[in-house]
Amino acid sequence: MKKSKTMKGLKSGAMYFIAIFMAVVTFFPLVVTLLSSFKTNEEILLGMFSWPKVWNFSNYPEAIRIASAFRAIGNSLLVAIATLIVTVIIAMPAAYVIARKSYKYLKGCYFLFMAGVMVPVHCTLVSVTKISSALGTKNSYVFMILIYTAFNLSQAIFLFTGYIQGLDKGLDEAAKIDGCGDLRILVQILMPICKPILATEAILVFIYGYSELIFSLILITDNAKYTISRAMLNFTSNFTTDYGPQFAFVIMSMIPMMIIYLLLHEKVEAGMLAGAVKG
Amino acid sequence: MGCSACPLFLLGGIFVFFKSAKYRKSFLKSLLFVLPGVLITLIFVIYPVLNTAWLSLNSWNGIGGAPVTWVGLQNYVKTLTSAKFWNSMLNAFYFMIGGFVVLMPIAFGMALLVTSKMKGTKFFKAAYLMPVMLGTTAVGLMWTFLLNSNFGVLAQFLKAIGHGEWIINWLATPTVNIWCVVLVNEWMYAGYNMLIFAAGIVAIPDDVHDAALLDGCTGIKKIIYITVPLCKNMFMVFSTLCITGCLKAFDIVWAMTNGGPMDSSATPAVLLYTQGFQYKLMGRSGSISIILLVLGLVLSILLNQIIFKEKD
Amino acid sequence: MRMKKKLIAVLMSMAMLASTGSVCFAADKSDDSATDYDVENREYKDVTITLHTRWDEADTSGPLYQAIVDGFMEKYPGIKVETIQIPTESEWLNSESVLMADKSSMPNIIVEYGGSRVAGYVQQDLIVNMDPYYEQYPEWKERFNALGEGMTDYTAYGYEGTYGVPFTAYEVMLFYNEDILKANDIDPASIKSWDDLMSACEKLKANGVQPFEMGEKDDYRFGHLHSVLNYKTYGCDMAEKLGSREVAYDGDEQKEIYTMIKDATDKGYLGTNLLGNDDGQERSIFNTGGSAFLFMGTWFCAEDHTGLELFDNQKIHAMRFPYVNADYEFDDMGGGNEAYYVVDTGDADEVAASVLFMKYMTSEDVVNTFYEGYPAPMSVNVTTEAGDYLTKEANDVIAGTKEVRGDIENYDSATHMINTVRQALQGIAMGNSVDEVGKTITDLISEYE
Repeated sequence: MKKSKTMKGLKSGAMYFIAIFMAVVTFFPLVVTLLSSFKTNEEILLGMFSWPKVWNFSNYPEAIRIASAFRAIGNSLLVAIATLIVTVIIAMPAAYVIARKSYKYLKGCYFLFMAGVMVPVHCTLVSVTKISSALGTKNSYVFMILIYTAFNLSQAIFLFTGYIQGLDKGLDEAAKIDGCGDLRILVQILMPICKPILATEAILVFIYGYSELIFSLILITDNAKYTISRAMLNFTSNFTTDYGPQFAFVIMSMIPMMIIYLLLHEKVEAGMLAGAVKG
Repeated sequence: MGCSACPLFLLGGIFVFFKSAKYRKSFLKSLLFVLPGVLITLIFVIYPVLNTAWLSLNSWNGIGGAPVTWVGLQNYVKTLTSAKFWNSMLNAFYFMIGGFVVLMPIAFGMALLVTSKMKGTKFFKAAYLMPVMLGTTAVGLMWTFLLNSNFGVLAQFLKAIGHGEWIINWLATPTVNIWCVVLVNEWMYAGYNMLIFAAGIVAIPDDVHDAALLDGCTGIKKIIYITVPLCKNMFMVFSTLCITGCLKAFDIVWAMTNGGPMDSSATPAVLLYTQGFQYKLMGRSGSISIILLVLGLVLSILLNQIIFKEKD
Repeated sequence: MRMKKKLIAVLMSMAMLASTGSVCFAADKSDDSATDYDVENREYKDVTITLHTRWDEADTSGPLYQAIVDGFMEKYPGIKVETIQIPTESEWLNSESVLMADKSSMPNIIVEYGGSRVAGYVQQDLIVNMDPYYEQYPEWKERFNALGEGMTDYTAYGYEGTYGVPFTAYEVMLFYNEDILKANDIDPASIKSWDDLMSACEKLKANGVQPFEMGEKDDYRFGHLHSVLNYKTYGCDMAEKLGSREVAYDGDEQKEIYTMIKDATDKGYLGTNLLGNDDGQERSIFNTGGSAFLFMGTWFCAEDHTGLELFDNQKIHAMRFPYVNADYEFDDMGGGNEAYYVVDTGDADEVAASVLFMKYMTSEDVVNTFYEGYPAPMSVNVTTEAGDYLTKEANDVIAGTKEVRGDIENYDSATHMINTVRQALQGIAMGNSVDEVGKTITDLISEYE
């Protein structure tokens, strides 16, 4: 009896140790960024990990000036959330159908999406620009969100399909017996159970929309519409980089993401499916 | 573009027409569910790929109005006989090794930790996701400084423990530099992939956990025999995303080393970019894209068939 | 009937008079399309032009450029100027490449560095030839000095004409820290040749002082060194000789240059962490007294040096880059920093508006205002005094220069050369031999054929 208790204690101790160690390893860059955001350029370049000699608070207002920080963050949020919504609305039904139905063409569709995941972004730039010019969508967020969605759909459908395939078919069978049509099964039964993967994909899409640079560089030229990654370029002038304000900007842009993440990840909790099959 | 598919649609249409009304209804409904996704992907992803494929058989300097000259397979020959290309494939391969040997266990381990009954999982979740939230630029900047052989933390640490002679210029030494990027990549994406695995773990119904407890299957045994098999789909998803991600790896490499020195740490995507947009060899760049695409497809299909035999 | 005929005759003679008159006013132009080049006297209604630049809002020059755009739009209310400003090199190049890939997305004015990229555009008749406009406005052409010529001349590629309007210019020179040299008993005036410089470096190194602390992580550092040493050893026309491959990159002449760089590197004169430092760190180290010398372009003078002791006390000075061959003492690396190329998008209004913008931008008052805020050397004549002591020293050096060329690879028709040569030179910092450098370049030339 005693032995197993010590074993248990040791095991959980080991677990905590590993967890904390990994947390430190992942946390320390945040600490470095935070400290650096209070230093001058010279201090940063010559000593990244030291405590700031003088707490230089001017980097923050400087960042706000250089990158129009609040506007950029707002734009990124808007784009990320819009992309996320459109992606989920399009991907979820597609994933459901691919995972549950057995029509032959669906295999082809799955193949198509698999190919979609593999496309290196740069080779699509010229064509996308051509389409954009042809449609006259210069500086259009709608078009950019559409592009972002297109490049996220494949991964989203992948994730959702994989997840739904792992769910017990008994759920929808039971619903079918009750007379539910496909749409109802999807919305009322599967969506709630898919909350974990939905939340996960939401975070992934959000991160993508927030930090994407290549397309926003080409498609958006109005600086009132710049997103965070685009505004970040403003810190590198022709021949030098303003590191202090850049780090300040990074900290500022991280905060909304942190908040959204904390809100969404509540959903990914164990025990979601308690009693699901028994109904 | 859509014209070649017309006869297929026609045949499909005829096929459906002859089935029962009920079949037709559910057939069309399924089609409708999947159509928006298919259309968007075809227009914005597949059409550019077809364009690239065509360009890869030509020589073009990327300037509007400049002649596009047919060269057949010459671009492919040049690419496949280029030492730089094979070096970049090796680098992509290193990425894959890193992905499966380092990233997968760590991400899965993190997922187990954050979905367990431990205290402070919320804090751990946030901490693990921190790197990817900082963004590639900031992460690249930070690690570049960290690895600076003069004032970087690693160098100072080595000096402090009396092993100053182990200090080399990590990011400028071939092979060492790509491995640094790979490890930073795993560090950054551990939390990201943790989310994917966590979703799979969380989907395991509680009664499975209860049954396992009753059977006396706990701890490591449970992980090996119950959790992992039930997350098979997520592993498959991870594998595909990992392979394609490794082949496409660009951002972190560019941020840390720009592919250098002398393209030693370049991945195929970096070569694609420099050859296309800096050297204006759009045909060559296109050939690299197509090779990556085909390779990715082949590897993913192989992976699916061989390792995860039960796919449907 | 008679009245009508008379009326017609009167009208016709009036018309003839009028046309003769207009011929007289259009200064000896017998060509009907003379008015096409008269961009000043033209009506502009709802014309929008796009300008693709590397202007940087965070730099001191950024707001000054923006002021030029605002001033222009105020003066010509019928024209709207939209700017695409991308300060980082690779993203800027990315954007330009993508936008120029299709006629429908091309900007109206692109800021570029000349070389084979622009030559490619000229080849496709995409860049407007400025000559007819300079004929229309000869006083405009007078405003340019010799510094910007290299960026607008494509006769080497076989295209007659003047393509592009240069604006800011630069010259690469040697900056030194007076205090450090004095403390080590080195008289800056005695450094005239490369050998002189190397002896000074030897002295400094012996006393534990670092001569240069180059940031070769940014491979353009050795790239510039290679170019400037070439000009100082073989004269400026080595640029055309290398560009046409008359002189080989793995030949004896070039190997001599590689050897010069390699010797200095091996002796530790050029830096203690060549591949670990970038050019920002290189400058920081020099600015805070960590190294004795810095060789850099004159944009260095216009950078923000507020609060730095060495500059406040005027301890940093500029001098001409030392010669290798005394014949070429006044052959320097420099020229136009940027040139504005007007793109022929096919829309006559847009082209005219673009040319008009360039005319405005290079007019006396506008240039003077710009210079007063950002005293960098210009390819356009400046008639105002501005800038700190360092700028004046640099300008004196420029005044004595006889011949300039820019990056040596800019004179090569293969677009990859600038990256290829720079990468190969970076190999010197990695310990590669002189032969390996030459071989790498020639191998890559045949790979990218």
